[in-house]
Amino acid sequence: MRFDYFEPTTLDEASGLLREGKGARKPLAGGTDVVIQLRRRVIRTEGLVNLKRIPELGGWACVPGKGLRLGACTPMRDLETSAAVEGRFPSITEALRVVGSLQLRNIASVGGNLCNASPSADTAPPLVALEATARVHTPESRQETVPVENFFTGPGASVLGSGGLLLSVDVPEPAPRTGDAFERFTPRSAMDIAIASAAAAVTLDAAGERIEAVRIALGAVAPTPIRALKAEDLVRGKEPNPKRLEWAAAAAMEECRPIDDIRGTGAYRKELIRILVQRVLRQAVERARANGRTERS
Amino acid sequence: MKQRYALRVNGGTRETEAEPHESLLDVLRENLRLTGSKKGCNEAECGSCTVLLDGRPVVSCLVLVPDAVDREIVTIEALAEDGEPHPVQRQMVEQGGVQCGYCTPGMIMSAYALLQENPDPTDEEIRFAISGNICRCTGYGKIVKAVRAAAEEMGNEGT
Repeated sequence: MRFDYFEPTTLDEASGLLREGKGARKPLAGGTDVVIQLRRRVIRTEGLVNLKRIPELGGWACVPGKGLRLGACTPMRDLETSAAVEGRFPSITEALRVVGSLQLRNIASVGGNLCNASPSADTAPPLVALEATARVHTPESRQETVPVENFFTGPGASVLGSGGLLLSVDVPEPAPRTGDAFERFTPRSAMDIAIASAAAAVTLDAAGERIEAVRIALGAVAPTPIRALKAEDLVRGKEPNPKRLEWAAAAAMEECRPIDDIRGTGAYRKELIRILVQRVLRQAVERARANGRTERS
Repeated sequence: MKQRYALRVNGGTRETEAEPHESLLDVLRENLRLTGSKKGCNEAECGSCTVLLDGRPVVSCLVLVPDAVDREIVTIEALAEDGEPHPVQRQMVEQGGVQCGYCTPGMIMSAYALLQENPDPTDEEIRFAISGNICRCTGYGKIVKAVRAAAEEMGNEGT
């Protein structure tokens, strides 16, 4: 495991170093995926370009009325321990809390979790459900905004290709009467990777009776994190009664394309999705109701 | 190519030469002879290499040495004062939280970091704080008990 190591302090410098490398250099944030992959020789590189000394890629803010904006290199644990994030986007906190270990989340970055593009990346479903967007620096040094939903192109692959950089992620301010939730299944309660995961964001109508808007995202059951669009259609405009949520979950089950692997069979993953989708919808609706009550009072 | 690094370890500055791809753990153990931090899995699964970086527990096996420059590193070696073990260390022994001992330094660093932030944690908070440290001997019960006893001991010292 030998390679050059670069510590650029500007975006242009970093982008130039990656361009010169012609695909043989890799960006480095927390390193918790990249370093392990290098040691296992799953990947090779001629050089690592450390991004953590570039000011634009650090820092985050969760301001009422302005949603959440986070630099790609923000350590997961910084967000996980924020009461502001937990209060407004509990699904993000729920996802962060289960990634690896606390000692890992002090190093690992949220951006890295997305760029590693594992189908089971825990931060992806909540960000997709919450309509987050990614600010991307293309290899040609253009800046573009991509919905996180379209960021992933396959297992381990994203729109960044080999020379692009993820700059920041923006989570828009939720509409009034919105609630969100994330849940995953793992056999162990810590230090495990999701067999399946689901997140939902639900907005209720003014009366608090029907679902006005909904987004459901699934993890670890397709080559990338996906939306469960048919399930969303089944609950949009409807009352969130248990029967209705059950139908939606059954639809979500049919929308996923899971593989059989060491963690579980595809059939098992589908069963998990049926349960997880009901749970996250129920939880999101409950939180949307609670948020509606605080807004009225 | 080897480079010179100055690391702030346990209150002092230590100069060393290493390749940039070497881990903080390897440099601590092999170059600085601070072998209290253990190398178990080398992949962030076991937590036996836990040290504090700017006050926060991290798995030093995944920290590349250049990333540790300009940061405050605290290892298990710094916890005892004048030969007196830290309350967490003493209680791990008292409560039977140590069997083979391999996980112990990492476990203690996680517990120490917790108590710095939260001097009176619940059992659930203790379990969460050490959930990234694997122990294959004790079943964790006595470790949790040791951390709680240490918290009580430290609380009493403060009053």
